[in-house]
This record gives sequence, structure tokens and C-alpha cells, in this order.
Amino acid sequence: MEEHNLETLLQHYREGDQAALGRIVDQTRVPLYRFIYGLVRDPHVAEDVFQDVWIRAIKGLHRYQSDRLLAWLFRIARNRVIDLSRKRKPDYSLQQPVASPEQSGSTLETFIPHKDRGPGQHTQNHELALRIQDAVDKLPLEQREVYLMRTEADLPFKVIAQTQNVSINTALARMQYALRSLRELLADDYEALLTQSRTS
Amino acid sequence: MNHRELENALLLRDSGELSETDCLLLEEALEKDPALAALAEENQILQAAGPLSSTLMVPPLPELNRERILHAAEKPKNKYLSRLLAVAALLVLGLGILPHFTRHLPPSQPLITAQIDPIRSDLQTEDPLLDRLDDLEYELSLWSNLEMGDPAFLENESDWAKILLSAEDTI
Repeated sequence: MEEHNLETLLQHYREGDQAALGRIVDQTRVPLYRFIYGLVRDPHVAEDVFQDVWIRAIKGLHRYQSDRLLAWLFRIARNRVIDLSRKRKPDYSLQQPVASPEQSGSTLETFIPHKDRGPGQHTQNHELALRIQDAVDKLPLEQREVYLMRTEADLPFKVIAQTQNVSINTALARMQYALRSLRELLADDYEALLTQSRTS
Repeated sequence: MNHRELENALLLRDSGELSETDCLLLEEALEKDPALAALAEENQILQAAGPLSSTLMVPPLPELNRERILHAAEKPKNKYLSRLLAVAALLVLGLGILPHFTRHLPPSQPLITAQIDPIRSDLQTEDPLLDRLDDLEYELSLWSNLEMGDPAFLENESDWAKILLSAEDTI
């Protein structure tokens, strides 16, 4: 995603082009929603947070002065998820491993399989995706945030550090720890991951 | 660069934040250290795993949310307009029902009650006092060398009585 394009669209929106806002929402939808879902792991909660983030963003657009719109949206989303976790029951915490999709009530029909793959491949990929998701869920919150911001939105570490209010060295360290944990958790799936990365 | 710096350099290279100088140093290190090269490949695979999982596992966002967001962006204009209309409606309503309340209020008593007679502004209306003065002036003119309307009548008001009395005495 090109930030320059987002900034251009934002400028159009500020000049009165309402359609530009729709395009901004469309272009940021996937990474932002994936980031939120990666933190909350509940599609209904993720939908509400996504909508809430955008409503807050629209209200605060007159104060937005940066040139990284997506990073700004991620920061709002992160803060919103943290606020949400504080309002939930005391035994609920983002620090705990989240439930698997089956445990959270979601069914397989909730997820759309890749349209170019056959049923067998789909099942295999689905199981692999489940294990990856389970491994990411086991990461501590700060490491999970860095990992998701880096991989889902392709945010640079400088921006990730600003979002988390830490130094860039801390953000890098968190990513190193996250990759080290994932390397251990997905050791059995490394070959499958290698194949996937070469075919995609 | 030490090992930790090299590991960080791998991440920064993937994110596009590594300087050209450090990129050259990293490339030299990767050529010399196979373990570092293996680590670089593992990092890229593990970083690609996240989006791979998301593509399959993250449910799509309903279209309804997009419409709600765009509607929220339009809301501020309508909100201010509706507030303005509400305030205007309250003002009109207030002005409309205010007389209804003031009608039931007891009339305030005047502080001062006075009967004021209207002042005569028209000198042509009948005035007994003026008629009497005219008669006196006429009498005086008969018995003196002053003509009617002579300013001396006004100047010598106090002498009118003397003139009249002396005239009557003469008669």
C-alpha cells in the first residue's frame, strides 16, 4: 500500500471529496482489520473496534498532521483495544492466549477458503493457518503487536516504535523475540511454510 | 557489526530502513556467515506466515461497516444543522407561548395616580379669562389714548386698574 496515495486521498477528502474517504477506508480495510482481529480474535469485536476506530479517526482528522495515515489508524486501534480490555471482566486479558476460532464460536463457514485451491489443499492450508494463528496468539501482547504491524501493514520499525511509545531498539528486540518464539512453535511446520512462501 | 546488530540489520533491511552503507556490510556478512543467511531466510518465512494465516483465517469485514463509517463522516454537518433547527424551534415556540403566560399575570398597579387636565393648546377656544381681559382692554382703549393691541397694555398691566378706576370715577 502506498502511503503517498493515502495522503493524496486524504487531501482530496479534506477539500470536500466524500468519495475519497470511501477509497481510504477500502485501501486500509484489510491491514487494519487484520491487525485488530489479530489482537482480539473475535470477528464481532473486531468489526465493532474497526468501526469505532474509523469514527474516532474521522472526528480527529482535523488534528492529523503526520504523513503516515495507516500508522495513525493502527495507533488508534491499539489504544481502543487496550481500552476495551480494561473494560472487560477482570479475568479477561489480552495477555492471555486467545481462544481458537472453534472455541470462540466461529465456524469454518465464517472463513473464506482460497478460491484457487482444491478441497484437500484447502483443508491442509486451513490447518496450517490455524497453527500459525495459534502460535501468534501465544505471543505476549507487545510482541504480537509488533509482529502484526510489521507483517499485516508493512509498517517500518520507526513507526512501530512510535506507535508503542518505545525506542526503535525496543521494537526491534520485540520482533526478534517474536520470531524466536514462532520459530520454536512452528518448527514442525517449517517445511510447509517454506513451500507456501515459494509458491505464493 | 556484532551478531545482534546483524540480526537487527536483517529486520531493517526487510522493512527498507537500512542505510546503503549498512546494506553493503550486511551483504558481506551474509556471504561469509551461512548461519546468518539461514536466519535471514527463516525470518522472511516466519514474517510471511502471518499474512498467510490472515488470508485464510480472518473473516471479511461486512459491507455494512463501510456504509456506517461513511455515514458517520457525513453526520457532523447534519448534527449541527439539526441542533440549529432545534434551537430555532425552541425560540419560536417560546415566543409563541410567552403571551399566554403573560396574559395570566396580574396587571401592575401604577405607581402614581394623577388626574391631569389637558392643557388648552388652541387659543381660539373660549376662555373666560381671556374674554375678560379683552373686555378690559377694550374699556381701557375707550378711556385712554391707547389702541387695541397696543403693547403698552402688556407693559403696563399694573396700571390697568388705575386707568379703569380713574375712568369710572370720571364717569
